[in-house]
Amino acid sequence: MIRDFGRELVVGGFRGYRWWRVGRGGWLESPFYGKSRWNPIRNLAECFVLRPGRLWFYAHLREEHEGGAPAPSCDCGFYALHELPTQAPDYRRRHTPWELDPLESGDAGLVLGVAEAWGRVLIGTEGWRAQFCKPVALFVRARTMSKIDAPAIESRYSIPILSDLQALVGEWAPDRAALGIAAAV
Amino acid sequence: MRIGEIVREVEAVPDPRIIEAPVESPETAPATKPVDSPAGR
Repeated sequence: MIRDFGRELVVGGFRGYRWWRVGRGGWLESPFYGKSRWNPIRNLAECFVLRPGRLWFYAHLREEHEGGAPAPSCDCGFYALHELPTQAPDYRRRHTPWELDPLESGDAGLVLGVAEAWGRVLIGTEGWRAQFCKPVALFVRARTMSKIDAPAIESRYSIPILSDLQALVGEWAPDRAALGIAAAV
Repeated sequence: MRIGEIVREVEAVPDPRIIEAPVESPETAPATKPVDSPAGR
């Protein structure tokens, strides 16, 4: 292991579970905050912190961290989880919108999938925040309440869209050993 | 999302083994002259 001023240098990316919103034309977008489109190959994280603006408005302002996003002292970066998300009670959903049942992937325009991260990656006990990220596989259940344009997504991103959640987990689950975290109980 | 307590900070570089090596196309491959086999002489 090589240490670069306290940061380990590792070869290979890290995988994690996350949600996307499916936009028009098969674009994958940030699901909950903002509507940034995801590039199929490479996405670079930027920090936009919410700051009080004029009057009662809050403004998205760019924050420049030394070394770029994600910064340990901030909440910026691309996010993903080591384990599949679990459904949260309704009263908590407003604050944790990502805590949805994975089996509902495809409803309300949201899709669950696996992302790969590289560059600066902050690895936590439950997930990671990363500088670079891209989608690598999606799960969309066979029958969804809202139509998901899977062919458009496949055409744009050239990634597999599976209708079997266990197949997604079996093939694309995050490698906890590579992440350097304890196995899930 | 919440990632819990940060336990590692890494700089991950893509695995060089998955970078595709340039493939020599037939058009640029060196031409080889057919060699008579000894048996054919």
